[in-house]
Amino acid sequence: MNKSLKNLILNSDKFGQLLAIRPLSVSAKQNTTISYTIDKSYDLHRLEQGPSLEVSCNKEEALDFYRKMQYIRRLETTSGNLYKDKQIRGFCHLYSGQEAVCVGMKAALDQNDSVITAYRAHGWTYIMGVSLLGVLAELTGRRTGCAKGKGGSMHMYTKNFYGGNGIVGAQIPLGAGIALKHKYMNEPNVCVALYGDGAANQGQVFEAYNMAKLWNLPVIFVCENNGYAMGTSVNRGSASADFYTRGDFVPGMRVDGMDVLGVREATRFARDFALTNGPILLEMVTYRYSGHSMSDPGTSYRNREEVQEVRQKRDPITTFSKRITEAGLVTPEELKEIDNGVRAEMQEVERRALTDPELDVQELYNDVYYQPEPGFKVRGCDNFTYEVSK
Amino acid sequence: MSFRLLNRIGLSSKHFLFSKNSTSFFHKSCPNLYAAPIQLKMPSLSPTMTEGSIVKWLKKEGDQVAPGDVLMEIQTDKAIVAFEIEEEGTLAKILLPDDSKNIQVGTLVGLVSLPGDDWKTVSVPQESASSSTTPQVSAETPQQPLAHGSSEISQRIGPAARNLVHLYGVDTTYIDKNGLKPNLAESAPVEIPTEPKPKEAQVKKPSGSHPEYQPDYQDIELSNMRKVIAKRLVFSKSTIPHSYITANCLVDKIINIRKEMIKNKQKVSINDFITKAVALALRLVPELNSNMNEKTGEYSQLNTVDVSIAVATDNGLITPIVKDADKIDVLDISENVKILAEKAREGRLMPHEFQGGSFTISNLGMFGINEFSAVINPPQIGILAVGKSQLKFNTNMEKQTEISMTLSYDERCCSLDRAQTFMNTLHFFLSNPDLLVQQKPDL
Repeated sequence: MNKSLKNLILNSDKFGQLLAIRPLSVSAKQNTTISYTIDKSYDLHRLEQGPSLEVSCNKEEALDFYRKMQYIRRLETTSGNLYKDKQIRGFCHLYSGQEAVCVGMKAALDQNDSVITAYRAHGWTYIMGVSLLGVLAELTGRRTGCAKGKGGSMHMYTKNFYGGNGIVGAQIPLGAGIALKHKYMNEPNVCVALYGDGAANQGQVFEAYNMAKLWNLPVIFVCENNGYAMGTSVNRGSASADFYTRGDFVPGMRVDGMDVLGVREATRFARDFALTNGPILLEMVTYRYSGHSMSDPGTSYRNREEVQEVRQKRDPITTFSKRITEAGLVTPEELKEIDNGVRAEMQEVERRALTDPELDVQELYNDVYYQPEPGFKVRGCDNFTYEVSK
Repeated sequence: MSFRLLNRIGLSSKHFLFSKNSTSFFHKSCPNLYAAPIQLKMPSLSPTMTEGSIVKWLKKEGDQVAPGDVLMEIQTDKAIVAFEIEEEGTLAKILLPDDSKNIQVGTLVGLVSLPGDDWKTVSVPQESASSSTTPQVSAETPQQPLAHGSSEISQRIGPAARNLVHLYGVDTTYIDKNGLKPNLAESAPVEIPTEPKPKEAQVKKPSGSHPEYQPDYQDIELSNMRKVIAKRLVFSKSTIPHSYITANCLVDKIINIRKEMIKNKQKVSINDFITKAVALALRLVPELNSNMNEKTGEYSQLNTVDVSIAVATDNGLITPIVKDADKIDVLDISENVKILAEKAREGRLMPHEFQGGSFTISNLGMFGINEFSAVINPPQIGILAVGKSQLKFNTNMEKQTEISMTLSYDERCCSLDRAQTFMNTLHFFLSNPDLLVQQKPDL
């Protein structure tokens, strides 16, 4: 947001009026917009002023956010079930519980902003523009998958979305590099580089902080702190669990990652900040309901009661739906309708993800090199098989 | 499966998306048209799990369930794991009770009705008994043949096994198809017709305690000296173009003179005469009295004649130098050689006493060797290999004593012509030993 415009709004009578009349909790008077003060104020690091604690959205946005979060939740539920049905093999890391982060962040990003994340990528892949079928069919290895079924969970890409990275923490320096590209090309865009609280302890993260700050790259580092690295709680694995401060010279902010509007507000602020001042670090405090991966039942290092408590008290979807229904913005029927629609669409997507054809074996030789010469051959799995690559 | 499928097709996403304007009708009048009950199937809870057992149901039919609730405990191949549900609804049917053992993954074990449905009216899908993991074929999209569904056996061979097939030239018809499950892995039985199986007896382990392993060889580390010798020999043999010529020299006169000198208590050896003869020959054929400079590729003819004498020590050959051998007489040479050889055997040679020199003589005559050829000792360009004295008959059937001498020379610095001249000169001096006993023969 333009600074002068911001000042204009802050100083305007209308804004003052709004501040004066707005109740601290939920405004139930209007049914076209909802405004409220976020539950937890942002913790700031090297920032004099954070984003506004007042967040709001209109009905259209609310339904959109709700629908997208439900799509991701159901996509992940389906993925988990298909994995347990042995239809999805290999790696699979579910995003259930963290939906508000990607939905809220995407809502504040420009369509030309870039995103790069690790392998908990299904939600981000969907929100960056890949269809539900593109994600699920990729997981089941069908040709309608976004990488033709060749990549699976760890290799999903689309325009301005750089994956789906299998190497823990490697996406963070890559994200700084994408931000360098934006700056170099004089583009008014940022790159969002996401990582988990486990990857936050990697050495390369700090190298990326350093370079990003040195060159004031327009990058938003986002630590999706879901409380647990692979089998280890944050406090057992990190000497400092204040991830938003760990960029030292990089300003940071701790955000309630379960509040989609709070996330959007923080991302708006961070985006403006990054474009003018260089890197900023957001710690999104969130939670994952499933294990780290499908091989992790997720109950050996935490108890089931803790998970259920988060589901009941902090779930990003139910807290948001409660908020918007209690405020009279939407009716429970409208949400129910969305739920049913999401369920029906996901069933269709699931059916196609199970029945769409697989790629021909020959296709495995293609897309190995960028624009290979005609007739260029690639070696197969043994020393005797060579096939033409396209 | 068909039941579930029909339900789904009955309301495809398209249908639903187009019905946005009539959602209220849709929602109120037929809320669960699309909502088949949620099927609970035996999950694969570990990568190796193929079947599991229901230990205990933690919910009863009619119980409300919420996402994250544990419905039952399942015994996998590794542990007892909780079966969680991610849906909201009512547990409508338990199809397999507590303690059901060895249930195939994918088998329907229960049904959950969606919120708003009457859980009592939920009916079991018809195909419930069988596993429903096989993908259904869509009616609209013509199915492409799946890669793994191909009937050609050759296409089903895994890469490692295919490698074996290629290596051994196995006809794939020999492969025991019963061993295929579902892909031919490397471990699948491959009958290789050309190689008979090892006999049972050969594989059988011997009984009793294992004897301690005694190697039938002994490891000996090379001494530093041998390493240096090897290094220099390799350098010499691989960089110097060696040529060899051999001549038999008559030494009867030397033997006679030596006998007289020994009578006079002048103890000299034949080798001392040879040394003196070589020194004089080098003076007359200076091409062989040279050192090669490998770095510049030039060779220099030396002003002094310093003859190296190869001496065998316990560690190997060393070559002490008789300096100005052309200028001193045989007795002096003899004296020098005795001192140097003794020093060499005791390892007391000073570097200047064995480094340098313009030519080397290696004499194995005293060890009974008839003839041999030697390797040039760089930077020198020639070496003379001397054998033992042998009694022979000449053409007149007279006895004579011959010694076979082989000259190795560096073809770069010395032509065959000059080498031949050298050998002839040497032969001349050895045949006229009276020239050798003078301090400086008048040539």
